[in-house]
Amino acid sequence: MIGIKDIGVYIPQNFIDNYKRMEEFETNENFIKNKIGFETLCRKSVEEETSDLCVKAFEDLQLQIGSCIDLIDCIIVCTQNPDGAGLPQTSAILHRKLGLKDNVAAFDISLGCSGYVYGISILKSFMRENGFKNGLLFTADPYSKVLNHSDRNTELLFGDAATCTLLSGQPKYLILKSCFATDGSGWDSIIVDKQKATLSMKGKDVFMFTMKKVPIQIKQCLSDNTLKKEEVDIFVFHQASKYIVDNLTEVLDLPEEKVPFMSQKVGNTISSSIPLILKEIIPKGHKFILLSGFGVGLSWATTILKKI
Amino acid sequence: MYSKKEVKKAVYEGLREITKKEVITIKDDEKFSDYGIDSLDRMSLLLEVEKRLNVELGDIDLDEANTIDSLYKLICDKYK
Repeated sequence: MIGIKDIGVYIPQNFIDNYKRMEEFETNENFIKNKIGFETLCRKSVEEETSDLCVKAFEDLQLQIGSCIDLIDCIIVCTQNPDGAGLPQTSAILHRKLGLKDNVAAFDISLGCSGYVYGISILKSFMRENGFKNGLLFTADPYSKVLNHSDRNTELLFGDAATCTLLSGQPKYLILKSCFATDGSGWDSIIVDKQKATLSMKGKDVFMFTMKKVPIQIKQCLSDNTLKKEEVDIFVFHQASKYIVDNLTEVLDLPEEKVPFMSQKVGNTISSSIPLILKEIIPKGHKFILLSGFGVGLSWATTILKKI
Repeated sequence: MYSKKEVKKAVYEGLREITKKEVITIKDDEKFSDYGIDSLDRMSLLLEVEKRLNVELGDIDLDEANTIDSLYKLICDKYK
């Protein structure tokens, strides 16, 4: 049985204070605190590459579980902001930086906010199919590489971070049946323009998609796993913004205490937002944890973790 | 397809839901933003109106639909 064993994280310690930018972006304290929800955003240093963020997340994992580098069979890096121009794959660069053996499989997957849920399913399946015992899923998607720093729609939202999730045959949590979905008609809702090389986001389109599609998938995932929402202890939603998390909570009629918003200090860290929270709540020993990631693509995915 | 009265009713009900206030006093030509409805809440308002009128407003420009009057006109143009 392959599942989640441990999670390492890296949060860069360069923080941007959104309150100090209220005048610049014509906003107010209430909007930042209660709507966007991100009081500060963490940003990597200019010299740090995506693979460097991954290395630091791995180092945090090793602090928890001791040295495990020789036990790793495969690594996946989930990013849409890879090292350099994206060729070679960031996972190969990371492979060298970690000093992994030749017989370690390493590849990237190009997904954003749905990437963690997709990623743990992909890695679990890859490991099971190939008889692997230990695999690492890295999430590292530093949007600071592509932000238009004068764009109010995006500049107040995104933070850089990285996580490293160890999947093994001796897990703490099993990954139950997952649901995946894509709507390519929304391909340009969140996009990096090729000429400008900066991110643009159609906030309304993303919001409407999230509120219409994600609750349906969450209900489907519960049904597929023969669970009622009352049986789920914690709902970990991608931390797109406090507004979106609050609205999902309301639409699904969930108790607020079951739906954490824990990204006030770091921002929307894309595929890292779910594992950053998981790392904090796994030690609490909840029986069922629902994860739902949604965003660029448009792509969304939901799964449920079950404590062993 | 929809009367102004129906659109206004949907907007008022949506605003009640969003603001949690029972009494809504916004005028037909008053900007939602001036009434204290920020850009995020205006997205929610479009969703609420969609639900109540069974229409699709995803392609409507949020800045253009900033009053009851303009929202009504946009809906009429789309569903004439």
